[in-house]
Amino acid sequence: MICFLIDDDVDDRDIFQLALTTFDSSITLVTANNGVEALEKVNSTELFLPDYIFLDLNMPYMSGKECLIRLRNIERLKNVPILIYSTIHTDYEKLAGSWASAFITKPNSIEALVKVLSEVL
Amino acid sequence: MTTSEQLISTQRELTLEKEEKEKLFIELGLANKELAFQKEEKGKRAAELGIANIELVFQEDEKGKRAAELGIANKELVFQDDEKGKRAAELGIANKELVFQNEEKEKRAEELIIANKELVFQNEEKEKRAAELIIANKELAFQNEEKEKRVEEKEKRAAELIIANKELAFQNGEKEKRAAELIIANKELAFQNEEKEKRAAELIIANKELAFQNEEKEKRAAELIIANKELLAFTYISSHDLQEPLRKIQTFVSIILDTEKTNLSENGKFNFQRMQLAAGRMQQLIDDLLAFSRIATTELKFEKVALKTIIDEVKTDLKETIQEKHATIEATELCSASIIAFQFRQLMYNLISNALKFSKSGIPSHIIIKSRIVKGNQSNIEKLSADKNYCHITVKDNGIGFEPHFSERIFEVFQKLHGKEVYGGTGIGLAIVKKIVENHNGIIIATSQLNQGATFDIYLPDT
Repeated sequence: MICFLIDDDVDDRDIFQLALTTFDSSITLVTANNGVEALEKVNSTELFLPDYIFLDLNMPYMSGKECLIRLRNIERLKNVPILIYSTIHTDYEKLAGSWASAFITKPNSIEALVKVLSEVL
Repeated sequence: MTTSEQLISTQRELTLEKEEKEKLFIELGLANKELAFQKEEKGKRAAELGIANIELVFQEDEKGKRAAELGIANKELVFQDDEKGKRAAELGIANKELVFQNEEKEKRAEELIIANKELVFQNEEKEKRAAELIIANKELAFQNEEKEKRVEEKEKRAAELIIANKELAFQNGEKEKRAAELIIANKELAFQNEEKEKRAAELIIANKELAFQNEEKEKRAAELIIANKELLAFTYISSHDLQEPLRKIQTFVSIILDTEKTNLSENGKFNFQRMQLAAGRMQQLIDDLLAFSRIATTELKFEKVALKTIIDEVKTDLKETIQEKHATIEATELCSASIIAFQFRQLMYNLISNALKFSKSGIPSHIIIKSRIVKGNQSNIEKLSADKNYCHITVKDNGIGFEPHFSERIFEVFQKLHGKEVYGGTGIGLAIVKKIVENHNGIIIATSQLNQGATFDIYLPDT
């Protein structure tokens, strides 16, 4: 299984990696530092097909919202669940409902994140 | 001098002139009478002179006769002379005597003639003067007539003038009356004008003052709005940005406690736990601050909601705490209210959780929630409009309460009456409650005595 995490925060990427490994060490994590880099990675090879995409909303260069719309327009990723993974949870709820598959608020502990991952994956 | 006064003086002059003329006329009459009398006297005296003259002529004749007789007698005597020598001498003497007497008589006759002539002359003079007097009289009479005519004319004119005068005097009187009335009316108007000007001036000053105050208030309001927006934006952004590192601290602590459990000493574990608690507290603070700022910024959508529904939802949310505190929440007498539902839910949540939090230890918490529609004047609260309807909500508990002088302060942000060791919380809960009540254009009053429970009275306009 391949998970693709798009998040500009290195700490959050590390925490996510740790939680994912804790949950299931066999899962591969691919990360991108922002939306631009994520689209580059997705477009670099047809072979890149993650099982889950985790997308942060508050990022530089390209907003998570724009990145979400662009990813959704890629035919190859049509059936891939995109999960919003962010601290903001007000204005983006609608967006999550119509474009994203789920919304995950970044939790305060590793146990909580592991629990969330076990629920969605 | 007014017209009427001039007329009056003219009148007087005319009257005086008339009097003068009347006097003159009387004097002329008297002079006339005098002249007539003198004339009569002269006539009498002329008649007397005529008679005297006739007498003298008669005497002359007699004298002539006697002279003739004397001549005859003389001739007789001369004849008798011879004879009567003596007697002739005597007669001669007598003759001389007679001649003398004759001469004397002639002298006297001459004198009488002269006197007669004198009288005739005087008569003539008198007649002349009488003629002159007659002429002068006629002249005077004429003048008198003229004067009478003129006096008549003047009298006519005077009468006319008197009438005209009276008319004018009447008109004058009327005019004076009207003038007096106008003066009074004018004074009244002037007074009113002055009063109005005074009031206008006062109003202008008051207006300027108000305009100035208004401007100042608008300026301050505008400044406050800007400051408020800035503050809320700052609160929101900072709260949000503060959450990120805090969440990481919490997460990393959890990782350490999770993965390094065996490597840590008991003291080390305890300190990490305290770190986690502190971070948790900070998390709660930030969450409340966010909620507070969100309540101030979100759109206000009012709807008629049964308060029972809201309270039931809150009771469900607080189920665990209610059980833990062995609390009973009595919420039976409840009406519907026009509210912003999600905000009001937060309000009730904060009030009820506060009541549960500040319960007396060892005594089961008892919370009574009531609501009913009341008129403003039933409430004894000045801020409420007397004839308006309000939804009056009461939340009463049997908790520790607070000292009455804190009844205002408890609604301020970060105001906490107790140390956090005893009662947790951020001190924002009641500030949020107040903010929500204000969003509903209502008022909230807290009343309590220490250790005697607290009561929160909320009045929301009933629309």
